[in-house]
Formats: sequence, C-alpha cells, structure tokens
Amino acid sequence: MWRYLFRRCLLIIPITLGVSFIVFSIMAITPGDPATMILGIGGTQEDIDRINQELGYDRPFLVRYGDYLYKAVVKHDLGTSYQFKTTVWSNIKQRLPVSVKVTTFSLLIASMVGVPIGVLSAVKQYSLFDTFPTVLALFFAAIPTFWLGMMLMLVLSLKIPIFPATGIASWKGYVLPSLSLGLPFAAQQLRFARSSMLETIRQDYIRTAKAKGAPENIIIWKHALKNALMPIITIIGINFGLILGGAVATETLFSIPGLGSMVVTGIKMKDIPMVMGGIIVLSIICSLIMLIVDLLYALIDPRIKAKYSRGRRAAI
Amino acid sequence: MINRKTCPMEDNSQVIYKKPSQLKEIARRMKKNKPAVIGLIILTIIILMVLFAEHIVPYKAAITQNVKNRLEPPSGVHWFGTDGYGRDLFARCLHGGRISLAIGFSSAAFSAILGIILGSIAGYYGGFTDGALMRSVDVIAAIPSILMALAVVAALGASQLNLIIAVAFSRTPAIIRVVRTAVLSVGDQEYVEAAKAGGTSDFRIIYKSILPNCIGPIMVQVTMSVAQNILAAATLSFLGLGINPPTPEWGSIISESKEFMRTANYLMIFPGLLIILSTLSLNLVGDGLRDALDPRLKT
Amino acid sequence: MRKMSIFLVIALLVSLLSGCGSSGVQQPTAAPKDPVSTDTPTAPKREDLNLSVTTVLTSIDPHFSEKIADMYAFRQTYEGLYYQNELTGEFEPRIASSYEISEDGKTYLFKLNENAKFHNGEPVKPSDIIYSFKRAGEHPSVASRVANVDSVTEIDGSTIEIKLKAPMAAFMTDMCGVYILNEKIVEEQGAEFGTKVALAGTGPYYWSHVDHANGWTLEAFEDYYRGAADIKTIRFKPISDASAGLVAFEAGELDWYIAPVANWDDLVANTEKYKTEIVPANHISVFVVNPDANPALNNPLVRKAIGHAIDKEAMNIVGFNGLAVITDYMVPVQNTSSDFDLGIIYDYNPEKAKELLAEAGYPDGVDVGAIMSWTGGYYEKMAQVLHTSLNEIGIKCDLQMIEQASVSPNLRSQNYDIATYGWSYYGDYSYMYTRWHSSQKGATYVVYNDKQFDGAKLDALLEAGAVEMDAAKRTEIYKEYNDMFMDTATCFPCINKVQTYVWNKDLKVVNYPNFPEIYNWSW
Repeated sequence: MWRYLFRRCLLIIPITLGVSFIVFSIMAITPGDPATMILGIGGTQEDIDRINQELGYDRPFLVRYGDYLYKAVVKHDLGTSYQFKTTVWSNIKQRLPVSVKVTTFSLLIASMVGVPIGVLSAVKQYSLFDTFPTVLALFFAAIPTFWLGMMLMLVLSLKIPIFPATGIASWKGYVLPSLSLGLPFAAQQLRFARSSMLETIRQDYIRTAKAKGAPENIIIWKHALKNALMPIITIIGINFGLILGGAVATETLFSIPGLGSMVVTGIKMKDIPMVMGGIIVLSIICSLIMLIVDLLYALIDPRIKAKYSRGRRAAI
Repeated sequence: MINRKTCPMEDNSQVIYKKPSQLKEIARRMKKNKPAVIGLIILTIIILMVLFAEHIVPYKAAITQNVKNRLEPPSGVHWFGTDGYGRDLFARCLHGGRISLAIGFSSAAFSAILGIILGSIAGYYGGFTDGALMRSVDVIAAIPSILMALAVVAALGASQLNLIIAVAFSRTPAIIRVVRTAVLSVGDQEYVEAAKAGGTSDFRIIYKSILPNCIGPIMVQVTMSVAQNILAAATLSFLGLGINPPTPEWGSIISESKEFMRTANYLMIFPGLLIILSTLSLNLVGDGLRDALDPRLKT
Repeated sequence: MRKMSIFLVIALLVSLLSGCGSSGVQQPTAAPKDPVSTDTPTAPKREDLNLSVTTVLTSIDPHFSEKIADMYAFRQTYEGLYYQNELTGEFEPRIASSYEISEDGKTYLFKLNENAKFHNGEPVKPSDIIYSFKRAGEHPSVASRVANVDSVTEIDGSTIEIKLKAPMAAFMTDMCGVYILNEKIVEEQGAEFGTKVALAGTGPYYWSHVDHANGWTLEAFEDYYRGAADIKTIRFKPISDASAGLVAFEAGELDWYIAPVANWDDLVANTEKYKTEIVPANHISVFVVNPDANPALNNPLVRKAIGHAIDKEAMNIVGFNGLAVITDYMVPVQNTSSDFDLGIIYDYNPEKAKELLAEAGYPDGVDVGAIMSWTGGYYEKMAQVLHTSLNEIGIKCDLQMIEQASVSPNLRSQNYDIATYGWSYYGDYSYMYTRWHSSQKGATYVVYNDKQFDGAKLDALLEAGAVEMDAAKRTEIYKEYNDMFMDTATCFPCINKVQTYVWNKDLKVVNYPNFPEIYNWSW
C-alpha cells in the first residue's frame, strides 16, 4: 500500500515535467513576443529588443526552458509575471482559493442534486421518478456551461434581480457561476449514480439480503449505496479537475478571478511565466486528486486494497 | 467503457470478424431503445438540414448585411429574426451548424484515427512502447483540455482546421485509453496467439483480428466525443478564439449575441437550443449504442 | 464508511465557511445603494464610489503601465507638473504653480507649488521631479513623452528648469503625462514598486489596497493641497463582460459606468434612476492599408477604391448603435488647436470605387488578402462591414481575427494587408508625429518608401509642425501634411468614438472624454 502510494507520488514528477515542456513549447511557437505585449503601441524597436533581452527571451528555446526548470526546481521560483511584475506564485496564491471555492460549490450542487436523484431513479426504475429526472439530466448534460450562465444571468440577475452578475464580493456572487457549472455536472452524476446503483442492486448479495427479508430502505441506503459510491467518487474526482481548470468561460462571463482565466489572459498576453505556473499548478492538483480518488477506492473496497498490497499496478 | 463480452472463438485468423449477425443484433437492440431512436431521428434531421442548408436558405442570406433591418425579432420573413448586422439568424444558424457539426465530427474522426493507431500500438506491443505512450498520454491528460485547446489555437492561429486540431488534440488521450484497454482485453485471446504463431504481420493482426472485436467501445467513445467536441468548439468561439467571421458557427453566434442579451435574447436562445439539441441527440445515440453493445447494463 | 462521510461533510462545511469568511474580509462590499432610502432626507450622504474597469489591473507604476484600466486610477493618484483638461484643452497648475517659456521655446521654467506633498506627507522636492523625468525616460511605455527633453535641473529650492533639444509645441501636453513620484519610496520598493501599496504620488487620492485580480481601493488624501476630495473611497473592480457590468450597475454595485451601446436607449429612458451623457472620446478608429503587402494594394487606385468602399454610416450603426461621430479627420476635432478644412476625403461611394478599380486594371475584381482586426468589440464589427462592402464592389478578401495583444506586433512588422485600429490622441495634431514619423519605429504602421511616396517630405512636414509655435502657421503645415497623407490612401479615419456614460442620479459628476477626475465629483 505505502509502496504504491510512494510510486504514484513519484509518477507526478515526470508528468509535471512533461506538462511543463509541452506548455513551454506551445507558448514558444505562439506568435508575438513579450516586450511588444508589455509596451502596447508605444516604444521603439530598440526598446522591444532591450526588454526581450532583459526577460531573457532572446535566448534559444532549450536554454530558456532549462533556465525555467532550474529556477522552478532548484530555487522554487516560478518567475515573475511579464504584465504585472508580481511573482507568479503570489498570483496563484490569490486565485487558487477562488477557483477551489467555485469548484467545490459547483460539485456540492452537482452531488447534492445528482447523486440522491440518481439513486432514487435507480431504485424506482421505470417509474416517473426515473424517467423525468433522466430526461432532465440528458437535457442539462447537453447545455454549454457558458450558455447556461448567460441564461441564469438573464433570469436571476436581470429579470428577477436576486443574485449579482459579477464578482465574488459575497457568497451570493458564487451562486450563479456555481449553478451554471454545477447543473451540467449534476446531470452527469445523476446518470452515473443511476447506472452504478442499478448495477449494484442487481448483484447477488443484495438479492440475498432482500430474500432474507431485510428492510428495503436499509438495503438500498446502506449496502447498495456503499458499493455504488465508488464510481461516483471517481467521477467527482475527475470533475474536480475538469472544473478547476476548465471553468474559463464561466469565470470570464461572471468576472471571477480564477486560475483558468489567469491562464487565458496569460496566453493572450504571451505572459509565459503566468501560463506555465498556472497550468503546472493545475496539473499537479489534478494528479493529486486522482491519487486521492484511487486511495479512497482502496479504503472503501478491501479487494483493491489487497491488490495494492501485493504491489501490483492498477490499470489506469 | 470496457467491452465485457467475450469474443467469439475462431481458430482461423484469416476470417474477417466483422460478422453481420453481430451488427444485426446491435441494430435490433438499438431499435428497441426508444430514446436512442428518437436521438437518431433528431440527429438525422439536423444533419440533413445542415447538409442541404444551401437548398433551404442560400449561404448569401447568412452573410448579407442590412443594417436597416438589424435586430428584428422572429417573423415570417426572418424565422429566427436578424442579428446586429441585419443578417438572417435562421440562415446563420443553419449554415453555422455546418461548421459546428463539421468541427465536432472531424475532430472526433481525427482523434479516433490517432487514438486507434496509438492505442492499439500501446495495447498490442505492451512493455516499453506501452509505458512511453501511456505516460505521454498521462501528461496531455493532466493539462485541462480547454486550456490546452486555447493554447494550441493561440499558437496556430484561428481557423477551422486549427480548431479541429486543437479540439482533437485534447480529446485524443481519452480515446487512446479506451482503445488500449479494449485491445488488451482481446489481445491474449487464442485466435490472436494463433495468428502470431502463424507469422501474420502485426499490422494485419491488429487490423483484421483485434480491432473488429473492440470496435464497440471505441464507437461509443467516439460518438460521445462528437458531442463534447461541439461543446468545446463553441466554448473556444465564445472565448474569442474560434472561426473567423463572417463565417457563422454556433458558439460565435452566441458570443456575438451576448451584448444583445436584454434587447434581443432570441439571438442567443436559438443557437443555444441547437447546440443542446445536437449534443442531446448525440448523447442519446451514444447511450443507446453502449446499451446495445452491453445488454447487461440495460433491462 | 460512516467515518468517511462525516469527514467529507466536515471538510465541505469548513471549506464553505472559510470561503464565505475570507471573501467577506478581502472584499469589503459597499452597502448597495437602496434607491428608496435616498428619497428620505435623513439618509446619510454616501462617501464612497464603486467603479469598474474592463481588464484586470496590472500595475500601480505609472511609468510602467499605460493600460487604460490602470490609467483610470493613475488619474486620481498621480499628478504631473501641470494637468491638461481633457474637455477644454487648457493647462491647469498642479505640482507646479506657474511656468515661463524662453524666447527660443527651448527652456521652460516651472515654479513649484510649496504646498504640494506626497501621500506620505513629505513635500515635493526638485530632486523628486528630476528623478521622475529621468525614470520616465528609462521606461519605454512613457519614454516618448520625455524624448525631446535635454535636461532637467534645479534652479533653486522651488524652481525647475527643463531644457528641450528642440522647440516643441506639444511639450506641455507630453509633460502633463509625466507623473511625479517620490524618489525615496520608489527606490525603497525597488523592483516591487507597482505591485503593492505605495504612497509615492501627490494626487487627491492614495492607494489603500492593491489587488490585481480583485480590484484596487483608493482613499481621499486629507492633506491634499487643493483641499480634500468629497468622495472619500473609490473602489475599482475588473469586470470584463460589458453586459454583466451593466447588470452590476443596475443592481447598484457600480455607481458610474460606460454603458454598452446596445442598451443605451433603455438607460436614457430610465430618467428617474439614472443620468446619462454622451461625450466624444479622444479616440479615432481607422483602416490602414499596407501598400507593400501585394501588387493589388501597391496600386494607389485600388487603395483609393477601398477608401470609397468604407461605409462609415453602417459601421457607426453596427459598432456604436449609431451613437458615435463619423470623421474624415485623423485627430478628434474637439481637442485640436490645428483645426482646418480638409482637402482630400473619402466618402462612401461604391460606384466611384468600382470605377477606380476598373481604372486600376481590375474591372472584374481582385483579391487583396485579409482585413486584420482584433477579436470582439467595434473593430471586429467595422472589419465585418468593410469586408461585406469590399466584396460587393468585387474586391475579395478574408477577415483575420487575432488577439488584441497580437495586433500591434503585426502592424509594426508590416505583417498585414488591411487592418483596423485606433488611437487616443492627447493634445493636438502634433500627436501625429508620434504615430507616423518614420523615426517612431514602434508606432509606424506604413513604410513610406521612396518608390511611391515622398516619405522624406511627409517626415519634414511633421517635424516642421512639431516645432512651429505659431498657431496659424502650424495649421498651414498640418493641412499640407494631411492632404499629402490622405493622398497616399494608406490610412482612412472612420469613427470618433463616444463614451456612453451612465451614473446614479444622486451622483454629481463631470464627464471627460477619456478619464474621469473624481476629485470634482460628489454625492
């Protein structure tokens, strides 16, 4: 078990290195140079050359990458933003909590809506409790999040002004973005919870429990749900990673200072340190969350735990 | 999505495994699945309308500006109204669907081809090749896909082809994984072993013996990815990194309509509904396909 | 299992609580103004102001950033020796109380205001001014403002002498944009200056909270030498989406806003809640044509045909809801001292454009490449309108939408065929110098090589205009320049942008073309 954990943690290192290399390469072939972006329309060619030189941007690609890695790994310095002159780390420190909050709220909404309804519709399969949520879920799963955000803004802050359209000044500011991110994922979790629950219900031990005359409620909520929970946890874990970095359109729409929009501004402004820092942090978090999901799996299911203890690698 | 069905045992590797009876069986199960049939019908209607868009409303109507008639609400003349340039929104939505669906399908095809090649190589050869490939896949999958696509579009420039590449690039890891798992599940079957022993080339074994037997889960994954690709392309357009105007595309129509949210909200409602309708029907077909391939999940 | 679920619940609760708590602390919200409470006379007078900017804020270093969002705050916190009123064009004393110009126009003597002091309470010393001019010259985004300055010296404790390399009519305008900073504070903060709170300015407000992602807060400087401002607190919040910003304004989260033009009519109609005003900005948007891009564009007749295919009326309707001002003039008419009758103008005339095209040898049309524009906003709309008009007269082209940040690099490197772009002009026609003189490598968008143009003559006219102090003669020079310039058919001015201001009806404001002076506002 511990060996497995150790190996999985080690695996994050080459993945992060790979991520940094890919992102650095893509940013390098993006047209434009940082100095022009900093200067805007003012400044002469000499100024541009000088600033690019100061930033070290005139050096060959591999030298720049090596330098970046050296500073990041040895000196724990992710660099300084070209546009803000502030350290990348200070920006991340400021924006990460916002992103985590939005993601957590969205997933809370998604799980609180999706999982119970999904379980219910599995238990009451083929009844109205099943078909109605399933149809609704299919519908929500097909909605682009930014469009849902616009519609929510149109209805809940314009027509009926309950929630603010921008910013995160109070808890109310989180409501619309979390709803627009959470509802499509709620739909996904509903579908997942339903099928996972259906599968468990059909298994032999549940049938046995039923045959033995155990009360139906206890069977479903205690025995069946426990086993159906594993795939649900996986999907929540995957979604966490997806929303954390993928909520760009929603962040832009609602003016939320999250990590995703930081990276997007960075891409547009050719602010290489910001893009690198943002994506590396996001990818490390995603990897860690997948690790945690795997561990939870092991905790819940002794069979998997046993498998890890024997030192075998799980197929990802 | 692992195909749990055991593969038919045959001792002759020369036989083509795409057996009509199996497909027929799948088709029969699909037919029984009402939502899937509805989805298929909606999807067919959308595709047909989009394919024959030129015969319904000429493309010219989608790009001809008439500022005097701008922002007209839906009417008999302009079914969906007109946009900020006075262009017919119905024509734009119809011809925009061409682009949106083309991006959705071709990036899915692109990532399917790439995914099948790399996935089967990884699954078939195993060992170092597998390890190296799968670690690269892990790397790409660790980057949030929308940010990845944004960076790729920013690097290559905004065009239809680059959008397809960007979307496909971020979608490929998932397909590689599915293909690899599927290939692994049939790779050690006896008929494959027999073919290997018989000296059949690796390519032929993969192409003739392995792939036909794991086409099911791949098809499900690809169908689902079309829907996701349509959403991803729309999101890119919404963020301003989409197709160049005046070419209509659903995401960019919504993006353009943002400023008219309160004065002419039909501008964002119609293209939005079209996106929902097409992704919904694709998901229904994908679900149906999955159930038909793996009947144990249903009933 | 139960343990885990309890753990999960606790974890979620903690994150929820901490979420609400910390966000509440970080972002002190203004109590949203309740429209009803203002009707009762007992309601306390507000002293705070909530504003928005469209991009994230980058830096509080006025020599580093010239981004519009940042400038909104700079205008409240920093001052130059003088201030040029955007509305009237007049120069008002600030850190300097008076100035004299020598006979030859090369030496300026500034008398410092004895009461002027920095936000940390220190009086403004001549050394701070020398330091600020030197520092500005080292920072490329503002260096052009002091490029003509030969030396800055201290005459006595309250007088500064600025010597110019050559007489320059626009010097006062440029000089107003050189913000004076406290040498000690800037040096102390070093590389960190710009990233955190610094009391290095002299303006009516000082920075009290600097947070690039969430916004900035300014507080009134009680010791300000012209008297403390009425409005005590200003909060700037970045809101990128205009529609969302308007919703925020209507909800009372913002007090003053540049409204999206599409919603203007509704806002104007709502007189019991809002006040509105349209003010022409100092901004001109243009189409530039690269004569070296391809053989077709190298032909002056084709370029002139393009000029006559620009439907400014339609661009105004599509891009600005018909609210902006159509212009044929390179500099906003309302803020120039060299106002003259235009010789060459390009009116919208598709028939004439077709004739010119036929005359150029392309009766059946020609492909001229692409119109480059940045994504979103009115530039994209103008480009789309031109695209359609060009196609109608038989000039084929594509639209090439690129990121805002990539536009100027492409323009600089002549990597475009046709492009739409624009500039804010401060001061008068001499501002053309900084955009079109061939020495301004960072700002010239067309290379006037000698094959087709008399580039030397164009340069010479700009130089002559810049040093000519006599207004009538300047007008003559610039008229000649303008005719020559327009005859190249490489740059077509189209629209003079307007600002569509809307604000809370209880707020008393003075609106300016570009940047508000909140010192003059009150509740």
